[in-house]
Amino acid sequence: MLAFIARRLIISVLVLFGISILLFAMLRWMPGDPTEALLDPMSFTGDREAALADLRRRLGLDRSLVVQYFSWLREVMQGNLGYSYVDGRPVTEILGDRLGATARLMSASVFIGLLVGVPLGIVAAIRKNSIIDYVSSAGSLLMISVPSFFTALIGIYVFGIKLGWLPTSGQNTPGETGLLDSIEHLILPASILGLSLAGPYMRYVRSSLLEVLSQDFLVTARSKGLSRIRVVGRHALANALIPLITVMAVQLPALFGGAVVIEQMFAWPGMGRMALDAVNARNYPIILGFVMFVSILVLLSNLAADVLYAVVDPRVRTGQEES
Amino acid sequence: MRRVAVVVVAALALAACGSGDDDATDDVDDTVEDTASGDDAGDDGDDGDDGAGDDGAGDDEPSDDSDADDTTDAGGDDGGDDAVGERSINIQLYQGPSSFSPLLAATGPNGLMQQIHWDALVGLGGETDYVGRLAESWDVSDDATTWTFNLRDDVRWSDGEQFTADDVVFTFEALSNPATGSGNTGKFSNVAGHAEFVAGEADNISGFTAPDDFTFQIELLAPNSAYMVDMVEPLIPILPEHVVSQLPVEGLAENQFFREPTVGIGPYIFSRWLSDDQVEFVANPEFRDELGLDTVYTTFLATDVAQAQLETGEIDYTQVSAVDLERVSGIDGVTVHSVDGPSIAALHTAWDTKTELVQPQVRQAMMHAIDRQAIVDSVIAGEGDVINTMAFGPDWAVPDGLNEYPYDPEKAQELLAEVGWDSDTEVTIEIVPGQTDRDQVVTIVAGQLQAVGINAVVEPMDGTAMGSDIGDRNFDLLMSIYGLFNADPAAMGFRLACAQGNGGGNLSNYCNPELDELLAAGVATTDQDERAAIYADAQKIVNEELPVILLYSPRTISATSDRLEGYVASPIPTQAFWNIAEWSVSG
Repeated sequence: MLAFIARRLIISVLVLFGISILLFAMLRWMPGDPTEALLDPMSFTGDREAALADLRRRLGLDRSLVVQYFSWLREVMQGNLGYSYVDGRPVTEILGDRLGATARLMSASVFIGLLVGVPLGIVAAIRKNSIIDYVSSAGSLLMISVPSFFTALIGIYVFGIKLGWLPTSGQNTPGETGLLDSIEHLILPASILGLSLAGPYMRYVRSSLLEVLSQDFLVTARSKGLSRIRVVGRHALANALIPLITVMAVQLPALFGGAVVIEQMFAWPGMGRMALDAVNARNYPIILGFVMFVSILVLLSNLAADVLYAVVDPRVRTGQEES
Repeated sequence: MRRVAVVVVAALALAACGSGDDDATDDVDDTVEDTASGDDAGDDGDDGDDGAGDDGAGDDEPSDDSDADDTTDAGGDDGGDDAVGERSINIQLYQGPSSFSPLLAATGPNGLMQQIHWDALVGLGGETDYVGRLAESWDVSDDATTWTFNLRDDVRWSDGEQFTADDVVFTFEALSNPATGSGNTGKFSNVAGHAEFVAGEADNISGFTAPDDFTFQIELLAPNSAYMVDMVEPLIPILPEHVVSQLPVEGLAENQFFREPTVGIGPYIFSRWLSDDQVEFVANPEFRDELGLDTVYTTFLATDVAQAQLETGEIDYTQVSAVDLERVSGIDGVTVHSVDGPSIAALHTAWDTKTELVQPQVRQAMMHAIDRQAIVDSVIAGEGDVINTMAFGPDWAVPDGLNEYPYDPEKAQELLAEVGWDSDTEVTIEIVPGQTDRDQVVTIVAGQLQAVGINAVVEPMDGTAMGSDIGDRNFDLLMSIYGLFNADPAAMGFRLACAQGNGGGNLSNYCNPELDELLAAGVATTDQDERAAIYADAQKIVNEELPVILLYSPRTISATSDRLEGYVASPIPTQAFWNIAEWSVSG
C-alpha cells in the first residue's frame, strides 16, 4: 500500500512539472501582454513605449522564457509563487485569502449534492421503474443539462428579488460576521452548485446499486428471507457507494469550473473569479499559482480516492498486490 | 454502513480543506475589461467632500463625528437581509479595485475608492463646473502661464497632521517621477523644469512651488488657459508628505502602503479589506465637516448583479446601464438619476497606418451610413445626444453651421464611389465585449456600414489584445466611450494634438498642423471671445476631417436607494462619489 502511494506521488510530481512547463509556454502564446493591461493606452500619459519597456524589465518579462521559467521554479521550491502584477501582493497570500471562500462554497455544494443525490439514487434503484424513479431520473437529467448560470439567475430572481428570502451576492453582509448571515449567503450559490452535482451523484448511486442488487449474493440473501430493507442497508449500499468516491474525485475539476461561473454570478470572492480576472489581465503569476494549485488538488484527490477505494474494497488492494 | 459514513465524511473533509475564513484582504487583479475598449479614461480619486462654496471655512473641530445628524439618522431598513445597518451604506464599484495609489495608471474603481479616502485640490461638481476641494480658489495670470491655488487652511490628515502646500508639491513631483513607477509621468510635461527633473538633471520640478503654507503655484512652459481640464479629470489625489516621503521612492506606485493606507484626508478613511473586492471605510475623525455616516462599504459588483441588489435593499448606489433603465426605474424604493454626460462614443482609426480609411470621403461616408439618432433611441433608450464635433460643449465653443451628417445611405455610397472604394476590403471593428450598450452599437454600426458597401466585421477581443493593437498601430475602427468634452473645448488637445500621438492620449495618431496651431492659440489667451473665434475654426476642421467617427454623447445614469440622502449625481461615472461627505441615510 505504501509503495503504491509512493509511486503515485512520484508520478504526480512529474505530471506537475509537465503542467507547469506547458502552462508557462501557453500563457506566453496568448495574445496580449500583461504590461499592455497595466498601462491602459486610453488613460496613460507620457512616453508609453518607455514605460512599457521599463515595466517589462521590472517584472522580468524581458528575459528569455527559459530563464523566466527556472527563476520561477526556484522561487516555487522555496514556497514563493511570485507577486501579482497588478498590486504587487504575494500570490500565496492572494490564493490563501481566496481559498477560504472557495472551499466554503465547494464543501457546502458537495454536501448538498450528496444530501440530495444519494437518497434519490437509492430510492430510484429500490423502486426501479416506479414513478419516483422516472421523476428523479428526469430531474437529475435536468440538473445535469441546465447550465448553472441559468439556474443562478432563476434563483436570484425568485428567492432574492421576488420572495426576498435570501441575499443575492457576496458571502457576508458588509460588516457582519455572524454565522447566520454567512449561512444565509451560502444557501443560494451552494444549492445551485450542489444541485448540478446531485444529478451525476444520483445517476451513479442508482446504477451501481442496481448492479449490486442483481448480484448473486444478494439474490441469495433475499431468497433466504432477509427483508428488502435489510438487504439494501446491510449489504448492497456499502458496495454501491464505492464508485461514488471516484465520481466525487473525478468531478473535482468540474466543480472548480462550476464554481467559476457561480462565483461570478453571486459576486463570491473566491478563486474562480480571481482566476478569470487574472486571465483577462494576463496576470501570469496568479494564473500559474492557481492552475498549479488546482492541479495538485486534483492529483491528490484522485490519489485519495484510490486509497479510500482500496480501504473500502479489498478487491482493489489484492489486485494491486498481484500486479 | 459505518464504512460508508467514514468515506463520506472523509470526502467532505477533503473538499473542505482550508475551511473558509474570509475577511482579510484579498488579492486583486483589477480587471482590465473595459480599459482598452476605452471607456472614459480612468479617473482619479479623491473623496468627495464639498468644496469651498459649500461651507466656507469649515469648522475646525477635531471631533469624531460620531453622531452627526444632518438628517434623521436611520433605523436601518426593513427586513430581509439588508446589508447595511444604521448610518452605514453599501455602494457599488463596477470593477474590482486594487489599490489606493494615485501613482498607478488610473482605473475607474481605484479612482472611486480614492475619492472617499483622499482628496484633490479641485474637482467637478454635479454640473460639469469646477468646484474647490482642498483649494478654496484659484486664478491664472493674464498670459495663462502661472496658475495659483489658494488652499484651505483648516484641513488635517486623519492622523492630525496639518495639510499644507508642501503635500501638493510632493505629490505632483512623485507623479512625475519615473522611478516611482508612476503611470502619469507625462501629465505635467508642460510644467517648467519637468523635463530636467525626469531626466534626472534636477532634484525638483521648478514649476511647482509653495510660496507659503497655503498657496500652491504652477508655472507652465506654454500658456494654457484651460489647465483646469487637466486638474479635474482624472482627479489628482494629494498624498501626505509626512508619511509617503518615508517610503522608498523606487517602486513607490506599488508600495503596499497604498494597499492599506493608514492615513487619509477624505471624509471616510480606509479601514480594512473585507474581501478583495469589498472595502470598509470609517468616518475620518479629523474631517472638517459633520458627516452623516459612520461606515461606508464599497463592493465590486457587475452592474446587472448590483441592480438586483438594489431591489433587495442590499446596496444603496449603483451605476445603471441605459439598456436597463426602464427596468430599474420600475423598482420601488429606488431613485434613478440621469444627467448629461461629458463623454463621447466614437470610433477610432489608426491614422498613421490605415491610409485608405482616413480619406475624407470615406470618413464622411461612414457618418452618413450610420443612423446615429436611431442608435441613441434604440440602444440607449434615448439617453444621449448625437454629436457632430468632439468638444460638444459648452455652448460658446460650438459654432453654427457644422455638418450634421444626417442618415443618408445613398450619399454614403456616392462618396465611396468617388474614391473607388473596394467593397471587398475588410474593415474590422474591434470591441472588448461585455457592455451591452457598446456591444449592440458596434453590431448595428457594422450592419449599416455593410449596407453601403463597407465590409465591416466586428472583432471581439480582450483588453490586452486591444492594447497591443493600439501599440502596433493595427486597428481599423475601435469603439471607445471616454473623455470630458463639454467643460472646455481645449479638451480636444489631449486627443487630437500631434504631440499627444505615439503613446499619449491621441491614440489615432491623427496629426494636422493647422488644427495644432488653433489648439495652441485657444489656450494661449484667457479672453473668452477670442477663444470662441479660435475654437469655431478648430471645430469646423474636426467636423469635416473627422479624426474620429463621432457617434453620440451618452447620459450618465445611476440609481440610489431611497434611504440614501444627499447624493448628487456626477456627469462622470468615475466621479460618482464626489460629494460623499454630504451623504447621509434616512430611516
